[in-house]
Amino acid sequence: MKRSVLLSLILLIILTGCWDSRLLRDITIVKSAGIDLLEDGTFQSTVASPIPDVHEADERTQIITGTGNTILDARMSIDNQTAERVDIAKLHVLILGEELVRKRIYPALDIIFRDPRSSLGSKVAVFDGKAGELISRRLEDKPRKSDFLADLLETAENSSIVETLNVQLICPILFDPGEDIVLPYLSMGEDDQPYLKGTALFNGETMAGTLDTSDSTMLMLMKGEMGPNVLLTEQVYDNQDMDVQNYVTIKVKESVPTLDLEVKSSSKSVNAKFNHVLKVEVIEFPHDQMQSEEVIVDLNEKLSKQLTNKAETIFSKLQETNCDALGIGRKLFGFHHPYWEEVNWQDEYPNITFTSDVNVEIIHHGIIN
Amino acid sequence: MSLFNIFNKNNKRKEQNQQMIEPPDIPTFPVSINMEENRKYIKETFHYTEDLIEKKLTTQSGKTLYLIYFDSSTDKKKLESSVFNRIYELKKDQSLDRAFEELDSVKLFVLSDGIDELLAGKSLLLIQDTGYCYAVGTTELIQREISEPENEKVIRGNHDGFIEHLSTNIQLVREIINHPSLVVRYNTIGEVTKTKTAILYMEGRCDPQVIEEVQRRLSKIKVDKMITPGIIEEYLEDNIYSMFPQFISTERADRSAINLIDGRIIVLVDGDPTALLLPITFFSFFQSGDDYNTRWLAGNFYRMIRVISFLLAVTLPGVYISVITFHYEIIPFGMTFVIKDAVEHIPYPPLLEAFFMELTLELIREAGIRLPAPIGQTIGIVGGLVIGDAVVNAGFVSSIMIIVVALTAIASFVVPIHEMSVAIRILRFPVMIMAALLGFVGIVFCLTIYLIHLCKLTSIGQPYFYPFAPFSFKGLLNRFIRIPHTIEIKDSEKDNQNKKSSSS
Repeated sequence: MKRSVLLSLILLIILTGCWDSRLLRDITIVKSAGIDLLEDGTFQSTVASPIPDVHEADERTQIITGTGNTILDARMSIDNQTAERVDIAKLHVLILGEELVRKRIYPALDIIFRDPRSSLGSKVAVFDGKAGELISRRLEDKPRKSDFLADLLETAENSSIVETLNVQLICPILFDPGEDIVLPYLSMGEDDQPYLKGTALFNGETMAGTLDTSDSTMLMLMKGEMGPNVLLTEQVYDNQDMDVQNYVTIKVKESVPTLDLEVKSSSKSVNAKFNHVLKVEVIEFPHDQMQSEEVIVDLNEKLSKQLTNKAETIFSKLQETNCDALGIGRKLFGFHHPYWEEVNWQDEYPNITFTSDVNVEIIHHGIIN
Repeated sequence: MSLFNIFNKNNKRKEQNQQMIEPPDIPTFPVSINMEENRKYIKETFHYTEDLIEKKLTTQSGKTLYLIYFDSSTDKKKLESSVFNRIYELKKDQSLDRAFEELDSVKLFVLSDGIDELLAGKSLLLIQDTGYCYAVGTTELIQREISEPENEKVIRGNHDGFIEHLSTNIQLVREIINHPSLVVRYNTIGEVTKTKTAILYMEGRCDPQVIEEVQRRLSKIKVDKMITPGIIEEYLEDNIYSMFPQFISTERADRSAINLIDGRIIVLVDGDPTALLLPITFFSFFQSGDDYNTRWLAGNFYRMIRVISFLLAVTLPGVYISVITFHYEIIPFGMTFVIKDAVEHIPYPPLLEAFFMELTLELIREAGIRLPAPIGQTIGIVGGLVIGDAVVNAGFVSSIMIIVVALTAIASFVVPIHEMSVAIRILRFPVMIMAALLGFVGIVFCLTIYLIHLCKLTSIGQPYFYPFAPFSFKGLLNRFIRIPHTIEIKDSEKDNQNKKSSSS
């Protein structure tokens, strides 16, 4: 009796499943990956993996490209080209080619969601071209490209240019019929350096349009996403001596967006009233005169008007691309469910009316009074 | 099956031990009127050993005396002053008996008892035509000086350490505790060595059941071997298969005294400078006299460091193995490639790598202890620096592994009690093997087993893992944390019972 217990304990330890150890030395660690849709319908996957080289500051990177009918198929083909097993558990940045996301984004992410080993914390971005190009491009002065891209996105998150998203966080939004994702949109500059171009707007699983960085900052504020370091530059005058004096740069200290929805049962139309209170600090205002009450009141008014216009432009753009980035559908689903049941939100969204009112209030104006 | 037979055998042995207690093996021999018979008996008992000296003395009254003593263990000066001078000074009319009754002597009517006294270094005085003899205290004391124990140093506080002499040790304790409730009970154990042991406790503070139990277990000891605390410890232990030491052995008089006041028993063995403290709890091993002498915040800090270092010493190699074998994704981004660099060209699996380094380290440690101090240091340098560096350069072991092993080694030396630090070093190996098999799951598995064992373990019937199991908040404040001396936390009646008997 005792012997059988002991024996079964030993067997339990020794024979529990297969030995699924993955030695670090037998793994090719992928730090950044790009996925593209080729013209023939196959996927191309490009991964960058630094080659460890003891005592050297910069990492040499190996770029491997593989194609296949599915993402995993493409990864297998990469596997066949490397000595060690490719492992994406430490993936830092995932770049998606524009062609792919213009079609559908989900097929590229499916394997990442299913594979328990995936790095769910990796950042996702869209590149306006072939993602493989961005991954395989050797950047001058930036030997650690994966880290560079990740840092670029993180800084943008802090400045509220893009939303704080990763592979895991986009999944629920992707499957939510009442909200759409907005992803960072990267581009390659003329000097062969990647930069953040703005955000890519999605309609469901498909990319439908883009916003530039200034608009996307406003969009993030409207969504209620505020990073620690949000700056906006607006033109408030057009008659100053120097061009620079026409502009003011403000830092958002407090942002309270509210969105009220009104469903008119007779016409089945939706009125969205957007109200946004922004408390800001003037960071740069070459015009000066900040000590005068009048200037401040004037600035408040001008900024409010300017940003109200901006909000409306952004919303019309969103309607144009049918991208419900603000999650209006979600609210309708929750608070006006009968209406939601009745209509097809996809079709209805471009028709809703949007009125916005942005109130800017300057609460600080730097250390110079 | 043979493994279980061990347990059965053990049971049988226990039964045998119980039967063996009573009969003394030397037959009694009353002191005979015939002097020749007495002398023959003594000489035959000692097999005519040549260091047994026999001196014939004659008093002024004409009585013949025989003084028998061991040349090797008798103090000649004492012999001269107490026996020879006394006999020569004897007046004719003075009674011999009166002279000896004033001395440090015992009157014996049974000669076989005298054998034991002789062995203890006393001299035996046989008197012509009488049915008794005297055992005179002439024992020579061999003592070294009282110094601070090498392996239990403190910065502040008492620097007295026990020595090899039992009564000196008891004196040291009595010097610290000047209280009538300090009780000493002597026992003699061992068939061959006849070692004198002493149990010390404070009457009224110590659980009488524990005293009784300790004496019962001591009386069971019947071995031919040298009586060392190690043997006594094994006989006193509740679970001899446990990897955790169930007693503290200390050479410090102040630690013993503090524990006595806390209601514990100490066992002292003649000829050995270590005292056994019992019953004890797991967390007592992490306390040092310094904790109570430094400021309480610092005391707590270093106590926490010791507890953390225990965890570190047990788990760190295991964690490293499982990280690079199973879970490399938990390494932060910045470090991934540093570690990948380090392990890239290591030919062996991490477990072998770790075993190689750990065993090398134990080797260096063991060699360092055995060698005389000047060479020991050389070994430390050669072993630590040269092997460590060369092994990394040769590519046998990764540099991270050296860091891990070095940290582990340092962590395992922090614990102030030697037995526990030995236990820690052994506890680490199962964790390493399980980590290599199952990763973090394995480590958790192993630690769970350790924890279950700790919770179940007892020391003389008292819970070993107190104040965590059974959990007691007040016990935690009193035992685990060192609160300022001025704050007194009153234990409730039930806790008081616990406090008396267990834990520190």
